[in-house]
Amino acid sequence: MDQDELIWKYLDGHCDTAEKAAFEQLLATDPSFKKAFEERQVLDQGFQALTLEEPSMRFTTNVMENLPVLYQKLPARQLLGPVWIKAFWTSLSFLMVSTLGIGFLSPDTATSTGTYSNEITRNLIDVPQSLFLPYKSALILLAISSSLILLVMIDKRLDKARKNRQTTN
Amino acid sequence: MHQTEEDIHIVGRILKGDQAAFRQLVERYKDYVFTICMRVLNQREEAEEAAQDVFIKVYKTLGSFEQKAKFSTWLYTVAYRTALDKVRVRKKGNVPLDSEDNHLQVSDPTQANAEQIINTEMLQAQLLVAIRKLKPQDAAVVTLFYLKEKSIKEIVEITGLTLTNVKTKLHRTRESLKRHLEKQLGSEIKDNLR
Repeated sequence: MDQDELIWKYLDGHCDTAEKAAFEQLLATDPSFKKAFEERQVLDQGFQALTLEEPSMRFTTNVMENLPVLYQKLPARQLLGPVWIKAFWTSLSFLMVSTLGIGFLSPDTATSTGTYSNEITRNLIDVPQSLFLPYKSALILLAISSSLILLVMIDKRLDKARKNRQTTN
Repeated sequence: MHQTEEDIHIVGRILKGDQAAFRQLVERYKDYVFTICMRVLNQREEAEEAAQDVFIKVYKTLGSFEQKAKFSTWLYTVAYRTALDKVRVRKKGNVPLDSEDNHLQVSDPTQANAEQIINTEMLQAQLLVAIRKLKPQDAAVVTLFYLKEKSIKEIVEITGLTLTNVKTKLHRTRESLKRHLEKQLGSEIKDNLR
């Protein structure tokens, strides 16, 4: 390391113990080193005293006027009112229970001989069987509906947790 | 509030749609960003335009700021790259400081009483002019080093140069500036400041 480098390192505060000792010894014994140090010290002080450049007075306004439309708050209004939401859930529940009940009692459950397992069952399903879905379709619909309800419930829970976290922050 | 914490708080507010927070951020950093652009571009109008571009870029990409680095380091990286891009487009290429034709035009100190004319302010003014004569990358390194006391490590992050490269550039630039000022001020810097 040459002497100039040592001086800058010292001025920047990057010298280790050995370098610092070497620097101090040179400063005490070598007049030309001392002179070189003092010159760089003045320059370093000049650098540190440099002030920041200032843009025009309108700078901030210009930036704000040119900002693209991003990160805007979305309206918090719900698309449907609470009455409509309740009606939806009631209808869905009714549809599910009906489909499940009638689906299990549909003609698909008949024995392989083609006769119904008992007369009561047959009487029960005779009238509504044309209105509801067969057994397999009912199961598929049930699975889809259950998944949908589960997803909606998870979404609501996560949304609530997110809002709570925002309030805490 | 600690500066970094406050930056994170402001960034959070901006991402929630608070434009007043962005105005606060611009007010907070405009001088630093403008200084970097000015030292690299060496032309006021262009530097102002570049600084505006920097803040608009920052606004657009704020969502991608991962907070791994300090916000100021990230911001200065954008400023440095934007200014350098403008230099590349301009292709004007500054003349290196050591070039013979690159002496600054100052009054001859022998014509007047040097002790009265040359003082610390004079040195600073000459230093500023000398920095503007540097190559854009050298000017940026020396500016960043003395700007808000950025560490060498942060300068490496901002400029994308290697650690050795930054150290070498810093050392050579400062020595070059010293030689230049000595030439301009007539004698040793220290003597002129007495």
